[in-house]
Amino acid sequence: MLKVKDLHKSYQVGKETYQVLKGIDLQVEKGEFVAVMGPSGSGKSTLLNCISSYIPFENGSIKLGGEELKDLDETALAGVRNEKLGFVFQDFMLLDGLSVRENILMPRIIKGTVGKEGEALADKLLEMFGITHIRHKYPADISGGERQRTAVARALMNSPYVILADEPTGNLDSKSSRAVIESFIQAKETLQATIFMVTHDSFSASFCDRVIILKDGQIYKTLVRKGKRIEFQDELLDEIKEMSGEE
Amino acid sequence: MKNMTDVFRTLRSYNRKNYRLYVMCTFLSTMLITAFGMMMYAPTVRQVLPEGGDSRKQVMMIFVLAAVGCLVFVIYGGSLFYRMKSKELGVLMALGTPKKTLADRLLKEISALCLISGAAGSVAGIGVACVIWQIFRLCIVDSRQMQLAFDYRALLISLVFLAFVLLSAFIQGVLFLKRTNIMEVVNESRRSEPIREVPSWYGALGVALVFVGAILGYGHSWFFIELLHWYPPAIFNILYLPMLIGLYMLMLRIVVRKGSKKHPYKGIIARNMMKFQGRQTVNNMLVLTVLLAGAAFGIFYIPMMGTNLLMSVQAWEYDYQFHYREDQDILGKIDLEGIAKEHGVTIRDYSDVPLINLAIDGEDYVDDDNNRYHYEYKEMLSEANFLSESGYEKIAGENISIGKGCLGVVVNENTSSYYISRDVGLITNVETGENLSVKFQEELYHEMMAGRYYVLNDEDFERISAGLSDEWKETLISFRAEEDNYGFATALFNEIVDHTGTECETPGYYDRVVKMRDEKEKGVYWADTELATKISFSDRDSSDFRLYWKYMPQFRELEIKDFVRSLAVFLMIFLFIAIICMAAAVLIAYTRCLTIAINNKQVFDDLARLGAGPKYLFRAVKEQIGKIYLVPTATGFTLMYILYLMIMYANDGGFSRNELVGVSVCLGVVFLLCAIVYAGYRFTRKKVLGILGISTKTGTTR
Repeated sequence: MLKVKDLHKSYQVGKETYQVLKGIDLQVEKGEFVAVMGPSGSGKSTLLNCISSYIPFENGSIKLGGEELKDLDETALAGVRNEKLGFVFQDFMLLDGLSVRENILMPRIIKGTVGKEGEALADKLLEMFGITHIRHKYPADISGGERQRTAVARALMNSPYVILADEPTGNLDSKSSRAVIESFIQAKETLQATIFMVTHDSFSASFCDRVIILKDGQIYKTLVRKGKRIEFQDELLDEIKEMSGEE
Repeated sequence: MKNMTDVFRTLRSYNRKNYRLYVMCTFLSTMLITAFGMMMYAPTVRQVLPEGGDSRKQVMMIFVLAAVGCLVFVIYGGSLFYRMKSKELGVLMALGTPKKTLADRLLKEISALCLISGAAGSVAGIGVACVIWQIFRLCIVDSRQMQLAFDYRALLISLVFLAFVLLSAFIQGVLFLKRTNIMEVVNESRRSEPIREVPSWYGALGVALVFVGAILGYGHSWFFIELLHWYPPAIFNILYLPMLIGLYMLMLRIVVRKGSKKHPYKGIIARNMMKFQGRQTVNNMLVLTVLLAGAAFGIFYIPMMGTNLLMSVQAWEYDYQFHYREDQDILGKIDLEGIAKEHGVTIRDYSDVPLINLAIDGEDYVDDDNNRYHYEYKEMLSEANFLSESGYEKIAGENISIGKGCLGVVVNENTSSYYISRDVGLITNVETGENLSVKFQEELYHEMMAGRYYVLNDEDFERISAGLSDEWKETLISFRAEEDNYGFATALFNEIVDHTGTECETPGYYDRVVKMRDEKEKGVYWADTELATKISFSDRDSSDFRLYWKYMPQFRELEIKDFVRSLAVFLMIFLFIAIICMAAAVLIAYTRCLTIAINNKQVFDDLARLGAGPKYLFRAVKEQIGKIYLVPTATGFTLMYILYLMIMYANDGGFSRNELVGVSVCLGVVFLLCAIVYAGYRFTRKKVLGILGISTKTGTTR
């Protein structure tokens, strides 16, 4: 579904060039829930932004459903973002002037295919994530958890190949975080959604099938969940501790 | 909601405050520029400020500065607009809206906003110009000359301005959407624009550059014209540029200035907030400085002109003085006493002395090609008035002794050689061709006749005037009046005008000697063409007539009571400039301060949460708003005051008593303007505190 090969990305700050991603290789299969973890500055968000095509990258390849993103022009990339990718941001990125339902409908409105079928899907997602009662409310009038569940519903509107989530629980309390992660699991199980999530939170990551740990712009280790979630969280914590100890 | 049109409409409605702010910026700027343009291009004003004259150039310079200031204001409004829209546009891009779709809609939206607010601003600008003009007419002077007359071609100015506004909005929009990094677009509204630290000498160098720019800008024309005999083209006004650079450096230094060593944390919040929005703050402060300086320039004109005129009149030796050509049928002494009696006035110290018009020699400016000129000696350079020694004694009541072949020049302390030459060497009777070599002997001080008369030895006067016809002879009447009143002055003025023939319906600069020479050499005298100001007896109350008629009587009562009427158009133009510049400055400062409140609301809320009391928050607001108002006000007014002093000094190499009184009155006017700015500051502060929910009265923050 998603294939990243030898990805390089650097930033220019004044006269200095900082190499942030130093040859990342990874693959995410359909229906998989994958998390990327790592300390600050390890390149997690940059990796996600490159896959989203929000920022350009220098070398490497990103393939989505077999299609190479690097070769696409602006308009084609916009099409990919609209139809093949879904996004969930740390600070929700909902349009404040639109209601919850209208925000969820946005990907379809952009695509120009709202219709009855689209509206029905929006209502189904509202119900699935337990936010039907706030469908006419505006982002400013609802809680953080509700906003993030709205964002998850919006990300699913066009049945994308992959949902990209950047620290989706970063601004939430533990109860709301759990609700958001559960909504991802629900989407994966019900709609066979593929989720690629960047997080620093081992609790959220422990719900995933696989966790990729980044360090200094490179993949440090990949851990696969085999048993219970709580055991996987302990394993993640140990790994992070070990990685920190090496420094 | 089914499509993007619905989405845009809904978002527009939600963000109406943002749209309103941008519309207000465009509307107000276009309104101010249109009003200024309407006034500047009004036929009345164009007639009073002749093409190529210093006053026209100065008004034009202020207009250009005001237009640039308003354009910077609109660009600032545009950047605020895009900044506030950035999250929305970033989210739409992130969700896959093609840039082309966004560009189409955004540019259409911005064009509609610009066009509607610009058109409304243009209409309102015409209204503002009409209202100010009519208020001036109703409250100050209502002469025939002040009839409302606009040239609607002036609307071209607002169209050009609007085109610039539209272009800048387009460029800003295209640059905004052209970014490839969507995350940058999303985070634009949170981006600060800090300015780097500058060393402490930046401020001092800025001040030095301001003075260098002022001296180069003002002095370059003197250098080229007087020393190189070359008229520099307008592009040389770029020599004023160091002034702007210096001002920018000064503002920059003030904005990034660190706290004192003794109290490094005092005012740290206000200082750093300003520093992190530094670029826009400095740009806005620079525009404010220029506009406030323009306002001061406009308003200074009025006290300078007024004090000079009124002080001169107060110093006159006679209440009444007028001269007329011998070939005119003007009232005799008996008629004059009759009119005086009708108005209850008694005439005292009456004198009538003969004076003659002769040609004098001198150096003439001759324009060459390539903007150059040279001096050329002419035996018959221009026309001048001559009194006899005994005639002068009769009027002045003092004994003088002018030697044979010598010349007395009547002056006062304000009379420079620009008005009357001391270098006359040859005088000529234009009708007989008889001439007389003369040399300057002495200056004769007489306030009323200063700058207009030469005095000859009686014998020379007799000899040179022999054979002159009545056309070149005049009588100079002077007298004092007991129980003097405006009615008598007006009646006498009207009688004189009514008794003067149309051959004397000429402006003061109409020179019959130059006419004879020009008609011989070029076939036409320029003052007989359309280029010259037309003087008409039917417009005897107009500024043109009162200021420029060649035989305009000097009546103290008339000068004082009709001061405003005589200078009506000048007063209106310069008062108008001051109003427009002040209004633009206060509006820009107000908008800038509001954005400080809007952009930093979160910071103030956080500070309150950290325990900052309302007094602390009030100080943080006050320091920022105070700086935005105070620094440009102090700089703009001080600079213009110094520039005015320089101009006064450069005119004749010193300050006359009248000029010193004038600049003192200007100082008072500066305080008045400061009071207006202070009122604007207080209003803005109240509004900002309201937005931030800081109340010092109740001691609470919302």
